[in-house]
Amino acid sequence: MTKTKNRLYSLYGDTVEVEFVYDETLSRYFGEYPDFDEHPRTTPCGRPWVNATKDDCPLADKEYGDCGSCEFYKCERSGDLIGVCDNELLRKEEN
Amino acid sequence: MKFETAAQAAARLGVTVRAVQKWAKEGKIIGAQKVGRDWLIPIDSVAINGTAVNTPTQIPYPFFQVPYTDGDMVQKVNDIVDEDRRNIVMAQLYYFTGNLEKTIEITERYLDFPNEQYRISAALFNAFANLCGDHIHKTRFAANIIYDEVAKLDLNDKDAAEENANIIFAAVVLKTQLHIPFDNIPLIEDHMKYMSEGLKMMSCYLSAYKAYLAKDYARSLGIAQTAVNCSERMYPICEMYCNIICAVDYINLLQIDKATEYIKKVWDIAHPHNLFMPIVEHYSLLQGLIENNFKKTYPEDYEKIIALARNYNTGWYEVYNYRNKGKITFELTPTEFTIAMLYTRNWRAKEIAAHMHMSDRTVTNYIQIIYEKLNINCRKDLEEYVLS
Repeated sequence: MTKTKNRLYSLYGDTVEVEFVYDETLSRYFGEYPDFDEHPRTTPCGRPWVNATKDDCPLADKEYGDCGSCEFYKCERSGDLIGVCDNELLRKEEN
Repeated sequence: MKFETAAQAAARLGVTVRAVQKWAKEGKIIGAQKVGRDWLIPIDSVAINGTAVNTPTQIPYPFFQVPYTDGDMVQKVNDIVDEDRRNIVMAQLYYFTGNLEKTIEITERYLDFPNEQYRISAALFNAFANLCGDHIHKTRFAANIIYDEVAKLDLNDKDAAEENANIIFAAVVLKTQLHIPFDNIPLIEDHMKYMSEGLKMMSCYLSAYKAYLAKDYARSLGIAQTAVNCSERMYPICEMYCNIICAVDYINLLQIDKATEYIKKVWDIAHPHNLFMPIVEHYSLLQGLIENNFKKTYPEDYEKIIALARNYNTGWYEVYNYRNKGKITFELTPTEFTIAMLYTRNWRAKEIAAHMHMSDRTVTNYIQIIYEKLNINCRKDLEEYVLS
């Protein structure tokens, strides 16, 4: 039976639950992260959740181009692969 | 008796014209005749009179220094009469075909050999072969033998110019490919004039590699292509190295079709003789070209390359990190490392997916796995783990 565990990511009053599946070969857990491009999600105050690996944001850091390297990427704990974009220009006002 | 010019003899024996002229003048080539300013050399002259340090039977890198002629490589090596020369050549053939245990077994015996040329040759191939096993301390030991020889060089001794050039070559290979810092290695470019044609080509490969590391891909490409095109005789392994660096340059210039063209040239040389080690040494830099072009068609060869590359890279990272206090990782599989390399060069997930024949989602999953293994979450941090 596959071993799993869940983790909650909480930022700006919103919580995302991610399941981690144990890989027997590598003896470690890997997260089944949501794809926020396919399933957009925002915090109550309109900030979009993003994957650190997203690399097509027009406002991204010019040198690196991915959300994880961007100064506006905020995550609950250092190294988290999902977080929230803190850039005011991308905040969804209607939310 | 049939004769050839000193230049023809030099090419056949894998040494410089100056060396042939010097040996002829010193009476070491039986039957050599002076005609005007040139020498006529007997065409069957491996007949060297005496045991001078630098005779054609003691060239350190025969695969780089003796032009290739058609025929079975193993048979040719077995036909070499001189036992030490046969062993040195066989050890190198074992290395290029990935039989590393045998390479180590033979070269170990020559690490304290009296003749410095065989000693550095053995040390160079011993260092690389030991990278693939859990013998990194032996790689360092062998590297130190070469660096000790460099420290002893007398660059003012013009009679030893060719021997010096051979030693400098070995040191530059270690410094360039393994990134082992060593401050006092003379510039290889200053000593190329003392090298034979094939060794010059290899030295150009090293210069191209340095330009590649400086991310000057166009310059690197120019050096490597010129080296191959200017060679008058066949040096298949030297050509492989130069063409590999061309493929690596093209992939970094995002010209995948040209990169593919060059890696196929490499394969055409490597495959008939199982000369896979030059590919293994550059596997990570080839960024998916081997998977894309040969995995399906040559599954057994591909598996062999992958197994060797995994071991080689593990050793390489360990040597690199030890010397440079780096964080180059050996936690990644070859595919993960390839994706990590492409990703740090600002390839988008979609571009990597197209290149690697994967879905966008698979690439994203790979990047997540890479990040989780390394406990990082951005390209900026990944750069520290992947030598770009």
